[in-house]
Amino acid sequence: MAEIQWNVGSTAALPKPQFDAILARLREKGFQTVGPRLRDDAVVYGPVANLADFPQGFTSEENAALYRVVKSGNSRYFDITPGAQSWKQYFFPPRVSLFKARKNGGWKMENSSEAAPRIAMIGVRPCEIAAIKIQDLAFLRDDFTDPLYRDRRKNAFIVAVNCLHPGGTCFCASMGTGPKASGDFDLALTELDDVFMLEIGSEAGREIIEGLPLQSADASLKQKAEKGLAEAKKKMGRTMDTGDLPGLILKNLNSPEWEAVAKRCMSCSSCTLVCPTCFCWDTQDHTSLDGNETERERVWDSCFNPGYSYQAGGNTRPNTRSRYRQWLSHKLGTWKEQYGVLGCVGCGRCITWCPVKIDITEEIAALRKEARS
Amino acid sequence: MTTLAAANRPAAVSAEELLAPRWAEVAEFQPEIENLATIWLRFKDPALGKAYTFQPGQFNMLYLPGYGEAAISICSDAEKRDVIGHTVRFVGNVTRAVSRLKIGDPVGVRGPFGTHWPIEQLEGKDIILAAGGIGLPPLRPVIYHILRNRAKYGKVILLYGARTPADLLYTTQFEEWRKADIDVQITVDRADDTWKGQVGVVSMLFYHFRLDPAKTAVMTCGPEIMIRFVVFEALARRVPTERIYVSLERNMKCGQGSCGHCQLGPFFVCKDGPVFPFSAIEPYFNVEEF
Amino acid sequence: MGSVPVTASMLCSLPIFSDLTDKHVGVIAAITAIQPFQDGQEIFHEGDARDFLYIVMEGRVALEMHIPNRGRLRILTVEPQEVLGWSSVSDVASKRTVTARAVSAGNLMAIDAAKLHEACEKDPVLGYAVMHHVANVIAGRLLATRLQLLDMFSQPSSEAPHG
Repeated sequence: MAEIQWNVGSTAALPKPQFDAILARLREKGFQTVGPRLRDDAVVYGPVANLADFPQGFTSEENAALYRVVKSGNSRYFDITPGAQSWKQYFFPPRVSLFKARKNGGWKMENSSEAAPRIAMIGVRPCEIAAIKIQDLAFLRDDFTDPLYRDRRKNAFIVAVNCLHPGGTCFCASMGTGPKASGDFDLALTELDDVFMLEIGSEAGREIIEGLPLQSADASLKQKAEKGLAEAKKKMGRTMDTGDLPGLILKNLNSPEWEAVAKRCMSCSSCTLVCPTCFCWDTQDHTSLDGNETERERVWDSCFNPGYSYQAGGNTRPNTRSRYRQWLSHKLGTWKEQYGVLGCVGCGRCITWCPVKIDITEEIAALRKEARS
Repeated sequence: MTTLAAANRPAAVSAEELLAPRWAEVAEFQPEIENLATIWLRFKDPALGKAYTFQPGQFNMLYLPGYGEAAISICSDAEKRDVIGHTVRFVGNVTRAVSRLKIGDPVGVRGPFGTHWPIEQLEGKDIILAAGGIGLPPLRPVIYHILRNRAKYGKVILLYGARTPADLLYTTQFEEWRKADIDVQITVDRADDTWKGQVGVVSMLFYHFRLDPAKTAVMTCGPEIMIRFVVFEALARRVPTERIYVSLERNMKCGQGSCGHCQLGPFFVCKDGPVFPFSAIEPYFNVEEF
Repeated sequence: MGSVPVTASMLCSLPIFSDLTDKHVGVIAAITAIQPFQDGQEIFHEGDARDFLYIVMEGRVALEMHIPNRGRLRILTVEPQEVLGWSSVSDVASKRTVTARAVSAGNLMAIDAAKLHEACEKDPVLGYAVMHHVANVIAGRLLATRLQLLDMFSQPSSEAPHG
């Protein structure tokens, strides 16, 4: 059989056993291959060596304050949607050193000389790609580029996975971010029973699969994939009407709804931890006891933390009501003015992982109802 | 989304420079009033010192090794940059470390950050500077600019209020400013009977003169409650909101609109401010606890 | 202290009289005199009868209250063109509520409060105009007092919470 020339933009069918070859080639190129794994009955992101490391035969149930991994009854690998972790931990690590300084006469800076790791992300969902693009807007700007984010981001390889089985709290269809990835990946998979439909998204992706025994995707396979994705769009666990955002929030900053949600919210910051677009951070300075060495670290922060808005003289947001309002009015409100898009990708993590079942889609609906009354 | 014209934005600096401080040392430590002093910094590397420029209203993140950083407005003349002045009130860990600085001690500097008072765009206008308490230091660079270019401006009035006479800053400079035809009006919230000056809140000073809203600009800095009432008086006299400039303060960490702490609505006070035309922040400024 | 009688034209330029009719200005001029004062002179004392409604023409007058153990506290200063002694036209305060002490030399316009009251009773149109202005003066003082109460320049309390 003559070798088919695969181009960027074309879709092939990859027999599942061939998938490991892709991972091997990525490792040869110096990438750390990372993907979804099962640990302690939850999906986390960790090193993956081959397909066997992925959560085959599992799916997950999600609802407000509910997460459960269950057997799917089939042998697919990617029926399971993401868990609490998101990919932001790789480009925007929860804790990273900004600089060290040592006193020897004067103070001398020692920049951390670790090279940024090269990560191959296997199994990135369309909503997660949208989230990465949103964080790109925050960290890679014309007026300021975060070097830590930039170096990790430019080294990354993305293998996307389209969602045929949206989760119980998913609403990517409402946010226009899924269930199919429309771009910004190197390779994208849609999983059928025996093969992966493999879309080539970039030159780097094309290079990786060059020479692999890919088959051309025949019409029936393509149709199956498309049908599955179209149905998935209708099987979302949640919906959100975004037509009147951000105005709905910005015109109702004094709504009694903020008081109502504040009665339930514990300001625990779980939503900001699991949210793939939240980017707030804090600095911590650590100094040795003798005062001769100091290090500054950047750590994740949350607008729900009491110290977040503290300055000498008091706190501009001294209670849960003002903090919850800040989070929601930023995510689905002022974010649009700052970055040109809303900050929510509809992944549903904040709904799943809120211990008191606050549901962002319900909060928007409640705000709308109150505004109209 | 524009607050001040793009020309007022700080020039992009390399990211590596922005995250790690550059070293300066204390050239002078000038006590002012109780719990407050002006520290004058000189960059250790003369090339850095030469290259460093700032505009009135901008701030630096000052780094005290071992303690952390504080955002401090630059209070000195933008044309005299061999040493850079920062008036600091000692209220927290980092600023109390500032109070213990000696000549020659190292201080890290990141900056300058933020938008600036658009004083060059206001030539020909009458300028009202309304400052309260520690709000005067960020306005002093504007005064230096006006002194240097007095003929380019119309009436210039400085309204300055503090809690008591002992809390007034830069009192030795008032005479020089008056001589340059700046109407310096001082008031305090309370005083004993040795004080011959005015007693009353600074916003009420607006009642003592007339202004022409068509050619007046107001620049104000101080506690937000004071700003609120200065704006109230300016608006009552029909000064357009685009020509009322306020300097705001929020918890600042990165100084470059990245860490999120200083947000007020869509604005990062560290990069879209701290100087804002009131027209930009009007929808958010009076929302309680926003 | 010598006092100088006042003509209607002197009053017209003052904002407080700017929308009175000429007739009304004349009525007030007839019961008004100019009183000069010296630096440090007490114009009235807390507890005094409220005999005059004053307008500062030149100079500065401080309002003070005396607090045992703390001494005399200056709570406000009155500048040229501002009203001093609104208690004379209000029934709320039956005596002066503060002491007025000059902190410079200057002069005042002193309106006989009893005669002003009589004139207002006789002519409600004049009465309304006068009370309207006095109400505005008091409102302005109230706002100023509230702002002073806020103590907006007080020293902040200390530490940041960790994190």
